[in-house]
Amino acid sequence: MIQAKDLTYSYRFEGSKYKTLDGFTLSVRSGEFVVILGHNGSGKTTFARHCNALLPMQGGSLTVSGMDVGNKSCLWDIRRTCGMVFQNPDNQFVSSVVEEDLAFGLRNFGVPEAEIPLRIEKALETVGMSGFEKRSPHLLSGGQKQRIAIAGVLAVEPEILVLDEVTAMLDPQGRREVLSTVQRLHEEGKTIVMISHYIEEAVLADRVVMVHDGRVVDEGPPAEILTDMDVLRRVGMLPPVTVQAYYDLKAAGVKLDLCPLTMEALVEELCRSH
Amino acid sequence: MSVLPTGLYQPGQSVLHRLCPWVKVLCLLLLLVAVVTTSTIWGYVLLAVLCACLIVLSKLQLQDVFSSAWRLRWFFALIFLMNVCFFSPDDPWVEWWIFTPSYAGLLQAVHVVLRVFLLLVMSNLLTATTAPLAMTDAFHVLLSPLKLLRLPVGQIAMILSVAMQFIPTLFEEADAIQKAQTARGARFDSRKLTEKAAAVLPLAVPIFLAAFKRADELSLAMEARGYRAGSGMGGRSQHLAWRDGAAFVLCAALCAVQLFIL
Ligand SMILES: Nc1ncnc2c1ncn2[C@@H]1O[C@H](COP(=O)(O)OP(=O)(O)OP(=O)(O)O)[C@@H](O)[C@H]1O
Ligand SMILES: [Mg+2]
Repeated sequence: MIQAKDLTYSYRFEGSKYKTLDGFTLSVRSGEFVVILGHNGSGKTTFARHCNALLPMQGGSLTVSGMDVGNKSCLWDIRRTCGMVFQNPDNQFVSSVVEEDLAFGLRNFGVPEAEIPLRIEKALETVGMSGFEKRSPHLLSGGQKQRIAIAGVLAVEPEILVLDEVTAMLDPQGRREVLSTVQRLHEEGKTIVMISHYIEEAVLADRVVMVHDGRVVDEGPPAEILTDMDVLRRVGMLPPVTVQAYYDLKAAGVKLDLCPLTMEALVEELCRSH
Repeated sequence: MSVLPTGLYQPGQSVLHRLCPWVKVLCLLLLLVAVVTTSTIWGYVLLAVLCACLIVLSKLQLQDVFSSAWRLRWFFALIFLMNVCFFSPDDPWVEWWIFTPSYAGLLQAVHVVLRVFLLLVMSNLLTATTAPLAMTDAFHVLLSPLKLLRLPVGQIAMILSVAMQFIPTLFEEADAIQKAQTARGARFDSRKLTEKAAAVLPLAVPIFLAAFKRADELSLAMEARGYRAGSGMGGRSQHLAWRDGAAFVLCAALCAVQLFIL
């Protein structure tokens, strides 16, 4: 679905020394749920923007669903295929009525007027926000805002969803709402690339990608990457609480069979070992 | 959300809600002309009755229509007093320093306050019954003659309606920044003008920066959702119904009555 090869990008000037993306290589399969982790300034957002052709290509190659991102004539097809949701829920709405905001993308892509209400209804249902058509997005909670923003993108029926730190500005409740929505979308078969710097969110993924200084440092299933202290230390991230607990227990002489990724797994493991 | 200049859109199904947006804007313009040119009691009575009918038709809550006028009550009081005191230097009741309150001034004050109030109520009726992007389409249609001058009409229309929606957000932000700076010792409540100015200036910079950042993010989000500046959009067909024609004829007639009869 997404094939990035040796992507290079520098905000200041082409060929300038400081590169935000420096040989970024990643491929995402159809239907996969990939979480990209990395600390602030590691280039995650810059990569996400490339997927939507929001930045000019400087070096390397990137194809989205077979379309070359550098090719200007594919621009609108790329944006239609690959929907993108941003971090700050307040800066994404074009209308103070949910319904109208969802219609914005549809009209831009020339969806027939008669089909629009149906699409909106379906998108709202998918994110669990049916009945909010007439509400004002500005007056909703953070989690609800982000789900509306996701619905706005879903209405266009993209194949890929790129979520750039959509939970960063939410409280735990809002984060749960959004994450369960994302997980449901994944189960329905959407390809999802979620960018995050909450390591706990990566547990849900099929594959975790660690980014550091504009390149992919390591990738693999969560059970492998999130328990690898060396990788985590290298990219400057703290391990999930449960993994930390596993290593602390090990140091204290309690050896668990399996390194747990969720609280439930940790509790289960502890019970079993007794 | 308490700082919108005019009423926030209230979703509904009334006749007013269903009028074609650009016809509605055009009607508002006609009524504005009528308001500005009124000068007799009967003129005001006619317009007030019209407003009352429109409010009933719109099925809006009174509070939605009048809240912005209520928020401006001090402004109304001020223009009233200014007109009474300064309008006519001849034939004052008393003369004291620079103040010359007079009967002519009082009359003028009543006129001005009534007109501004009617204008406000009417624009409120428009914004409360027209969804923001429908307003964009209305601007688009009404400004389209400017296309002959090669002005980017579609973009101007979009800018207008998005800007209107960001006003409350910016106010909230200003409030947050003000609190943050008060916490760090800025003195917004000082009586001294110099100190006050010194406190307000640093407020301006972060607000501008925040606004630019917002604008930047919003434009990216819009682009990602397929907005193409300069093409597409606005091509939405807007069917005119008989009620649109009726509304226009009614407003035009009212405007003519005000201009030529009353
Ligand atoms: N518009 C811009 N102009 C100039 N430099 C930028 C711009 N956006 C980002 N940068 C720089 O590029 C680098 C990477 O930014 P990027 O936003 O891709 O990081 P990120 O991984 O998304 O970080 P975060 O976790 O904070 O969102 C940063 O050092 C940043 O200063
Ligand atoms: Mg980022």
